Amino acid sequence: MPAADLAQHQQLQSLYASHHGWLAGWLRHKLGNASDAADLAQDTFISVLTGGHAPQIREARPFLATIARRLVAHRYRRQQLENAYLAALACLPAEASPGPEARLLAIEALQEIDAALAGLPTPVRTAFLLAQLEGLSYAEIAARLQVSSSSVKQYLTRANRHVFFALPA
Amino acid sequence: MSTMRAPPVAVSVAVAQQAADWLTVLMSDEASEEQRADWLRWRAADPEHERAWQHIEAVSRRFGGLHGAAATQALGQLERPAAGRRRQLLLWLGVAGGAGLLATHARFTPWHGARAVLADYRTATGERRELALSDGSLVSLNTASAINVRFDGKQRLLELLAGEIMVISGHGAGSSAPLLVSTHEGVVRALGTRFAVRQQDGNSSVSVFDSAVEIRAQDGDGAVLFLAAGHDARFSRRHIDAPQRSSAHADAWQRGQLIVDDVTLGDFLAELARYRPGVIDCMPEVAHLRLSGVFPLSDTERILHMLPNSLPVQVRSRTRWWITVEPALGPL
Repeated sequence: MPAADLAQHQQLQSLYASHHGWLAGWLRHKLGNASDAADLAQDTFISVLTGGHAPQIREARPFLATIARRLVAHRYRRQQLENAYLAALACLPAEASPGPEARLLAIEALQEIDAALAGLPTPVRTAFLLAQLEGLSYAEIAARLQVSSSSVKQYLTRANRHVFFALPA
Repeated sequence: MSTMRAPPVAVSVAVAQQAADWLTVLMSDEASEEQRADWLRWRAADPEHERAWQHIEAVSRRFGGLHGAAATQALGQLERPAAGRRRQLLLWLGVAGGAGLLATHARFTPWHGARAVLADYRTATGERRELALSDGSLVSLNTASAINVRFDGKQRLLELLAGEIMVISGHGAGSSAPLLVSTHEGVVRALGTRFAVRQQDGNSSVSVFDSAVEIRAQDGDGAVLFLAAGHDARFSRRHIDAPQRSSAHADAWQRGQLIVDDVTLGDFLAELARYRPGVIDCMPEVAHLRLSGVFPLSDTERILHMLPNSLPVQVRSRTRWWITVEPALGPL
């Protein structure tokens, strides 16, 4: 292991040793669930490790809490998305419920689309979803959003530019 | 934790935007044949372009794994995520960028159909439309077509900007003036007749169904071709090809049909693609298969999904825009 990596590794070790217990406790308090808390504490340290932030950390606990909060929000949103998607599926007539693997892939794709759409105005998001996921024509989208066809084209130009290359293949 | 995936392709921001803009063009109901040809040329022009396009296809295929309506509902009912909260812009700046990139960008004009968009009359992809003109002539616009009508007493000019029209010349008011159809490549003059003119990429073609027309290529040194009923001719700006006998069904589109007799699947799908937005990919392994039949253009979806009944192919539609026709699985 190169010296720099070794130093970082040691720093992470000590970060883990000094704060893991505290972080797991903090998360347990926040979530009211010990096993979710343990998972998220683990994920937090993995995120620090892969983020390569360790050398700059001064205030370890606020830093860890910030990352953990983000992961909690992320997980919460994923859960919401999953629930909403499965509920919507259940309401559709004669729709076979997806198998566990298909479901996992679908939720992952949904989550990525959700993140990629962040920051776009609502009509642009909606136009994108109606075109890409529901296959509506521009004219149908224009009618649905009560805007002109050329606005729909502008929305989709913006959304397609924004989304496609923010997503993995 | 979510599974790790390969990062997006290494393409420059400019090329990524071009690829995304092509998608916007192709998904609209207005993509002309020329735009499709421009899109194919753009893909072929640079491996980076093709990489960017393949990325778009791959992402679209993943969307196809979602149930569209349920996904829209799920994503639509959550509050908007906070801007920039965890937005990863995974674009890689192309290593080979620089001057070449700017040049590519300057040549890139997916909206060159702007004239067609501003035309007097036009049809969307998959649409057909009939017009009755002031002189009693009837004009049918095929899918994704656009014309301007310029009648001024001295001439009756139809400017074909995109797509295909069928003209039945009339004998009403002002019909003593010559009836002309202009394309990017030249002018077709009606000699009391029923004929169709199609604007393709870099050339035009004419089919005559009754009596005859005269064709003059724009830069053809005044040479004129007299084309009689039952014949087709194709012409560029400089040259008019020798006439060919028309297929018996060249005007079937006017009745909402696509009629083919022993054509390759590749050609058939290219023709079908004119009538629907999006992309139809035909895998080379099956492009040579041949078919005949009468197909209703009002339901291209159904035509595609019936193909496996007569050919050893399977049709995958990951989303409405992305159709792949590939060899059937399993024993044939």
